[in-house]
Amino acid sequence: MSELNDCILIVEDEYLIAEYFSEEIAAMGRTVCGIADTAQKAIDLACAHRPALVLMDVRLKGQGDGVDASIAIHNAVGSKVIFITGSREPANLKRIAMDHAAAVLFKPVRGHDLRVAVEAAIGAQRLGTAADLRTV
Amino acid sequence: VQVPGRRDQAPAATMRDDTRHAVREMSQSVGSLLVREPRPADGAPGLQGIASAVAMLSGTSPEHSPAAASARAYRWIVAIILLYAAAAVAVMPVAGARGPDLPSITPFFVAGVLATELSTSFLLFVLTRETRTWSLLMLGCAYLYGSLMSIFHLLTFPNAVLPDYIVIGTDQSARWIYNFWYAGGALLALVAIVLEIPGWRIVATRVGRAIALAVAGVIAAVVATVTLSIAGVDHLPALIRGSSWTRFDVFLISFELSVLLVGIALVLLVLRRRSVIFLLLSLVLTAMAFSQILSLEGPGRFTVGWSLGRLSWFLSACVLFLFFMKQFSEQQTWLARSRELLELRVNQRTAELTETIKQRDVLLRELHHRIKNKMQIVDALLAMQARQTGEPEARQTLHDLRSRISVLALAHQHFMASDFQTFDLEQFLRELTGTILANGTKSDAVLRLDASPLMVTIDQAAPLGLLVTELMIDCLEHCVAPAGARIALTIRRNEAHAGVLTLADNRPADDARLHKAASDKAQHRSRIVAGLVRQLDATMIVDRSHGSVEITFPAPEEESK
Repeated sequence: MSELNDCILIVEDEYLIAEYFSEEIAAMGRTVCGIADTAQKAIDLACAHRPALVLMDVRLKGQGDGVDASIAIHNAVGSKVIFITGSREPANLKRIAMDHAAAVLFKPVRGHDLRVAVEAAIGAQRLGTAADLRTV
Repeated sequence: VQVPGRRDQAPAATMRDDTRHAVREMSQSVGSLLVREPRPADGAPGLQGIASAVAMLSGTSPEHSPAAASARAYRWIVAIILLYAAAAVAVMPVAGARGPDLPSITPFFVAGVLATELSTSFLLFVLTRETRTWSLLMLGCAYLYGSLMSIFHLLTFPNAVLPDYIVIGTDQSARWIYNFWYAGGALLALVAIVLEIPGWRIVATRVGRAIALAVAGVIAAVVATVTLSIAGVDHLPALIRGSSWTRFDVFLISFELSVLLVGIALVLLVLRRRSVIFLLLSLVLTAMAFSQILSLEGPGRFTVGWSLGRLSWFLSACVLFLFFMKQFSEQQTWLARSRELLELRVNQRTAELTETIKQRDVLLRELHHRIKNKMQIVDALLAMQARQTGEPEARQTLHDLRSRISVLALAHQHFMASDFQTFDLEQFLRELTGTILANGTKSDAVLRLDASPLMVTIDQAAPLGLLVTELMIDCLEHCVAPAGARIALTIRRNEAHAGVLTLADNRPADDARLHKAASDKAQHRSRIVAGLVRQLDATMIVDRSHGSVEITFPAPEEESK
């Protein structure tokens, strides 16, 4: 599998939440390579940008949900995925658990939790490759 | 156990239709029972449903009046009675011919009459409980009397039990008992018919007592007549000479016959189709009358008339018994059908309810999801606003606001994960304080949380969370470096089982918590804290020297494990 780009894809169909996440990520000194609001757009953007990490909302508008999209992205690109869900239901969590999740965050997600999860998922990669860019 | 007269003589096709219709109606009423719960305010619809379902099951109309007979049934009965009369006339010429001496026929005759009449009397008493009519009670008495007297007829009949021997009494006793048996039954039946004309009812609360008294009265009458016939037979005129009746016996037979004929006439001309049981009774009386007429024609034992008369009597004893048997089999069929229908209904309803619950579940989840999304949006708006704001003061205000709002979001989340009644305060506060510290601007603050699991009610959770948030924010504001904020939060139960929440910090000693109304902000905060304490029915003690605050609040009793 070829090299992944050091950027993050946000998949979230609620504009304000997506905007907030992207601000938080920008504040961490990281790059957002795109915001998708449907499963299909998420797969397309992931194939185009090859992000190291995807922030994935489970419930999306249109066809398919975040779990479907992340399976496709995992197979096609190999990005890590942090799930963001409003539901703590066992059925939902079981589906997510089958899906190589780097982390699962529950709404409402606070900036601190997001930062910790993102660093845990891809922080280590950064240390080796682009530590100089790190501006926390 | 009532009498649905219409189906009595109806052809099979009509009967099937009737049954189908009744079952449909019944299923509706049973269904309405299931669908419509009786409301406590007016129980009428539910009770009516039950009443109609019971009425359907037992085949009665709700007013408990004995079911009327159809015109067809009436015509059939009249036809059978005429046929019987014709048969009597036809048999008359040979009635006097002497047949074989068959005293051993008597046990069979008596056993048949005893079994059918005793059962019929029991069924009539059962029916009386429902209809509460004196007429049915009296009819039950007639059958009970007839069945009991048949035993003594057997015991006194010569050679019936033992060869060449009468068990009790004399030959005359046997004939007297026979006549008492016959006359008593006929008279009681006539009284029943006469009582049916006005249709008088027994007072509802006294039905049981009336039946008990009636049974006792019948037994007393049996004892009296049997005693008279056996012990007092010497003082009574002779009824039988050789094997032929005396004139007095013929007089008695004629009297009994006239009672029967009056009864038949009353049923056919006055009662007519009012009650199936009484219409059938006219048939019973006809069969009895037939046996008496033949007895008169063949005056003496073991004549053709005498033997046919006994057969006819046995048939008469069977009429109502067979009718009840038919009733029973129909009701069993109905019951089976209704049970099937009920099961079907229950299954349908269960499936509907399961589906409804599933839909509610989906709705609840959707609602929950939306609430969380909205909370996230509110938080996102505040966070973005805070980032835009240059002033540290304003930024801190927005962060505090986020903390307060996050309490509500967190309370909601814990609520959804709870049993919807109680709530683990420890878990909730652990998460809550973590969030406040993480969002605060003082990254060097340290919290020591010393808590044991404590269940509080749903209504207490949010105010308690907000209270802790206000106090935490206050701590973070007042504790200054270099030591950094050191906050200790403990939750426990005191001796009175009330919840106690203590918050202490390392602020400078002179900083009197919440009382030094230095700024508008502090005033605002102390107002919120005081209001929440009031809302929780709690008490708050502020220890200025140690910089700690203790809040005691009522906690629900712990379930014993």
